[in-house]
Amino acid sequence: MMKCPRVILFLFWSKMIFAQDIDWQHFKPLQSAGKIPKDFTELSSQKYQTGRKEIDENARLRVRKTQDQFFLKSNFIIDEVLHSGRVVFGDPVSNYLNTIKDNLLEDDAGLRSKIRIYTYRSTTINAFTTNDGIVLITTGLIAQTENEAQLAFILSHEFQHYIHKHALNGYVETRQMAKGRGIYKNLDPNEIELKGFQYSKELELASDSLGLILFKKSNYSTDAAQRMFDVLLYSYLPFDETAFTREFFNDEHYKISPEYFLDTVSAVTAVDDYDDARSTHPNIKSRRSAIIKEVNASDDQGRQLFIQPEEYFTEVQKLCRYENCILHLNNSNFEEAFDNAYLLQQSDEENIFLKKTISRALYGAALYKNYGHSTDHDVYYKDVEGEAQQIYYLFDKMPKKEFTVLALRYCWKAHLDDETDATLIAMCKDLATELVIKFDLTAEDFKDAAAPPDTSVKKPAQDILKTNAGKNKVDKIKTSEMSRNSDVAYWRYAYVSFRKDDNFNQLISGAGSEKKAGSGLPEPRSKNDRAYTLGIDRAVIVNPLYLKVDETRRDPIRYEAAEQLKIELQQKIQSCADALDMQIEYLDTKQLNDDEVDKFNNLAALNNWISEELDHDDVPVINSGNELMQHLEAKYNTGHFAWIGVISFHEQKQYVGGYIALSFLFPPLIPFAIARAFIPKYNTAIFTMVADGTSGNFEMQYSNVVDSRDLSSIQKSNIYYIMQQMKTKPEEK
Amino acid sequence: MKYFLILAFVSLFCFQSRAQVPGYMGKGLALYYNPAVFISIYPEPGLNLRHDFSADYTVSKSIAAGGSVKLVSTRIKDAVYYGDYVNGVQEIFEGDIKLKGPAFSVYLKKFSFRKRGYISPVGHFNKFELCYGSYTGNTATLTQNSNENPHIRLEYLGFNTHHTTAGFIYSFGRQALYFDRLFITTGGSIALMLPTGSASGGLQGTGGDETDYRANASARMFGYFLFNINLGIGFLAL
Repeated sequence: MMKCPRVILFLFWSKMIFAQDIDWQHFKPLQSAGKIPKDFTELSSQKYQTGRKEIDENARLRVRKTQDQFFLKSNFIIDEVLHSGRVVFGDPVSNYLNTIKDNLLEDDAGLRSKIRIYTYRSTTINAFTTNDGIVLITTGLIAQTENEAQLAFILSHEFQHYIHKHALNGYVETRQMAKGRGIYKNLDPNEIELKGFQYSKELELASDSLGLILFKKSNYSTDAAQRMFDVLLYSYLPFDETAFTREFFNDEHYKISPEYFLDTVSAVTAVDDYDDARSTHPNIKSRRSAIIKEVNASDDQGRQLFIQPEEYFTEVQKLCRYENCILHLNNSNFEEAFDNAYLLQQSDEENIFLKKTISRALYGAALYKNYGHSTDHDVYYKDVEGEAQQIYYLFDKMPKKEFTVLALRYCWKAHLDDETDATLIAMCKDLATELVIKFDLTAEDFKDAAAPPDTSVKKPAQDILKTNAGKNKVDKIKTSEMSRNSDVAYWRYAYVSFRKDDNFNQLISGAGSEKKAGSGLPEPRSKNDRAYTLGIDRAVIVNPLYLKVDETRRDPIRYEAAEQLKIELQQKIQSCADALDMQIEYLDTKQLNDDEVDKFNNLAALNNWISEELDHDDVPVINSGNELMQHLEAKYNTGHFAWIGVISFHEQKQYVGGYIALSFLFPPLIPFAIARAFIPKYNTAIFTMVADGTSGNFEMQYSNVVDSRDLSSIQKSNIYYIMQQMKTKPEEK
Repeated sequence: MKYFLILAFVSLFCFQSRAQVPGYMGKGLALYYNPAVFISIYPEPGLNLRHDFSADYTVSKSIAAGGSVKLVSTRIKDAVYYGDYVNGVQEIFEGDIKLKGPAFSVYLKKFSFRKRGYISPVGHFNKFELCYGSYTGNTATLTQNSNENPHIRLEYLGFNTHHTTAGFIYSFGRQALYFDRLFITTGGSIALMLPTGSASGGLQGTGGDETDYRANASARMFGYFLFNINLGIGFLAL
C-alpha cells in the first residue's frame, strides 16, 4: 500500500518530463514550468534570517560570527545565481533529475523533501550544492554523462555535501585559515593555501565515499559510478570525438584551401594522476582509488544503468546538448558552438536548428574577426586537444575576407533551407555588407561558372621551399598575398551555385548600393553622453539593480541594505514614470507570485539577451536572443526594455595620516588635510540600458556617476532624467 | 525700469526652457531665502548679515538661471564730516551712518554635471551673478563731544547720501533636497562690488566731505560683499 503513491508519483513524473514533444528543428531554450518554487521568490534577507537559526549557539563567538557571515553572503550570492536566468525548474531536465533523486532517496522522505534539484544552463561541467539543499546540475555535465546511473552517482555525491553541511563548515574553516587561527597559526601563506585545497579535497573524497554508500542502496550500477570518473577525466573535450574535414564545406566548385586544415590534430593527453595540490578536487586517480574497494566489494549483477526508460535519458541528454549550442552562442564561444552543432549533425544532418547554430557561429566569428574583437574566453588552437582542434585552427588561420566569404556561403545555404527565418536573412545581409564595404568586393569578384583550378591540393613543403628560394621576407609575403587574391583563388568560387539566384545577386548589389549611398556597415555602438530622444510611452523595467558597497567596513557589500533600497528604487522609478505620464511594467524575480512562471521565463530570456549583448561590446553582431525579444515585444505591447540600476560606493580613505603629517610642514594646509581625513567620500553611479526589441540593439546606454551618497533626491533626479530621455520624442526633421 | 528688466530677463529663461529640461522630477522653479553672513572685524567685531531672496529656474540639465533681491544693511562707524563755518564755528557731524537699500542681481547657477554628476537643481554648483544695488546713508547714532573745539553739531548729513554700486559675485555651494520640496543650501561667495556713476557728479557741499563719505560708503560696501557664507532654505515650487 505504501508503494502505491510512489508508483503514481513515478507515472506522474514520467508524464511531466516530456509534457510536450520537443521540436528539434526549431529548438528553443529550456524554460521553467509550473509553480515558481519559494527558492526563487523569497527575499534573500528572509532566507538569511531563516539560515541564522542554524547558528551553533554553543560555538565560540568568532565562529558564530563567521557562520552568520556565511548565511548572509551565501543567501545573497546564491539568489543572484537563481535569478540570473540560467537556472530553470519544472523543465524536462530538472524533472528527470528529480526522479533520480526520488529513486536514490526512496526510503528517506525527509531528505527527499529538503533537497531541490534545478538545472543550471551552463556549458561548464559542474554540479553545486547549497547549504539549504539546492542542487544545481549543469547542462554541460549532463551532456557528457553516459547513463542515468552516472547522474545518480553525481547526485549522491552532491547530497553528501548537503547532509554534512560542507558549505558552511568549509567557509568557517577557510576563514580560520585566512585569519591564521588554531592549527593554522604560524603557517606561511603558501602553506595555508595548500591546507585550504587539502581541506576541500578531503570533503570531496568524503562525499564520494558517503555518496557511494547512498548510491549502493539504490539499484543503479556501481560500475557506472566508477566509469563516471573517466567521463570527468575527458570532460574538457567535446561530448564526442569526430573528425572534422574540409569536405564539410566543399562542393564541386568551392574547395576550401587545405592550408587552413591540420595534417594531424593533437593527441588527447589527459592522465588521471595529475598534480592536484592546488585544486579543490582530488585528481581522478585519488577519487577512483577512494571508492574502488567499495565498488569491487559489491556485485553489479542485477544492477542497472537505467531505472527509468533509457529513452528518457537519451532525450534529456540530447536536450542538454542542443541547449549547449544556444549557450555557446550566448557566450560568444563560436568555435565550441560550431563543434557542438557539428557533432550533433552526425546523427541529424538536416536539422535546421543545427544549421542555424553553425551559421550563427560562422557569422559571429566573422564579425568578431573583422572588428578585431576577441572574447574573454578565447582559446588558442594549440591549447585544444583532439578532433576539435581542427575547428579552432580553421577559425584562427583563415583570413578575415575568406572567412566572411565562407560564413556568407553557409548562411545563404541555411537560408535556402528555411526561407522564413528573418535572422538568417539579416545575417546574410550583414555579411554581404562586410564583403562589399570592408573588403571592397563586388559580384564580379566571384566566379559564376567553370570548375576551379587545382587549388585544393596542398603543396608539399619542398615545393613551397623551392618556389620561395632566393626570395626575401617581403617578397615571400607578397607572393602569398597575391596567390590568395589571384583570379583563381578558391574563395572566388564560393557562390557559383547562387549566382543564378536573383535574391542572392540582389543581396550583393543591395550592399553595393548602400555603399554608394554612404551607409552600409553597422555603426559601432555609441557610448557618448548625449541626450537621447526615444519617444517611448511604454516600457518594461527589467530587474532593477541596487548594489551598496562600503569600503570602510570589514564586509564591504551591504547586502541587506541594498535589498531594501532596491524595493525603494522601484517606487522611485514608478513615481518618475507617473510624473512623466509614462506607462511601465516591472519584471522583477523577487516580486513574482508563484503562478507567474511566464514572467520568470521572460526575465530569464531578457537576462540572457543582455549578457550576450554586453559580451558583443561594439561588434554589431545580431544577438542570438533577438527572436525571443521580438516575442516579448508582442507580449508586453512595447519593444522597449530598460535595465536601471544604482551602485553606491563609500570609499576607504587612503594615506590619511600621511596627509595630516605633511600638512604640519605647511600649516595653512592643516584644515584641508583634516577635511580630507574626516569628510567621507561617496560616489553613486546610476545607469540604464534600454534595448529595442524590434532591432535587437541598445537604443540608449547612459550612466552618471554622482559625487554624492545615494540620497533619494540624487536618485530621483537621475532616474527622472533617464526616463525623460526615454519619453521625449525626437524632433521632426 | 530696472525691476522690469530683471523680471523680463528671468522670464526669458522661463519661457524659453524646453520640454527636455529635467529639473527635479519635472519641477524647475525654486524659491530661496539665502542670507549671507560673515564675521566683521572692522570697525568692531560683529556679524554682517544680508538678506537674500532669490528665485531660479532650471533651463538645462546643469544650468539654472534666476534673479535675486538682496537687502543691503550695514553701517559706517564713527564717521566725522565737517560742514560749513557758521559765524566762525564749524558744523560737524559725528556718529554712525546706516547704509540701507536694495540690490538686484541676475545669475546663472552651474551645476557640476560633467565632472560630478549633479543635475540641476540638486547638488554642487557654481553661481555667477551680476549685481546692481543702490543704498542711502542715514544718520544713526550720534557720538557726543569727541571734538574738543567749539562746533555746531550736525544731526543730519547735509549732502546727497544716495549712491549705487555694481559688481560681480561668484558663489559656490551645495543644494540638498529633502521631502522632494525643501532645499537646504550651503556655500560661500566672493564679490567685487564697485561704486558706479561719476566720482564728481552730483556732489554738493564743500570741503570734500561728500567725497569722503562716498569713498567710505563704497569701501564699506566693498567689504560688506567681499566674503560671505551662505546658509539658507528653499522651496521647490513648480
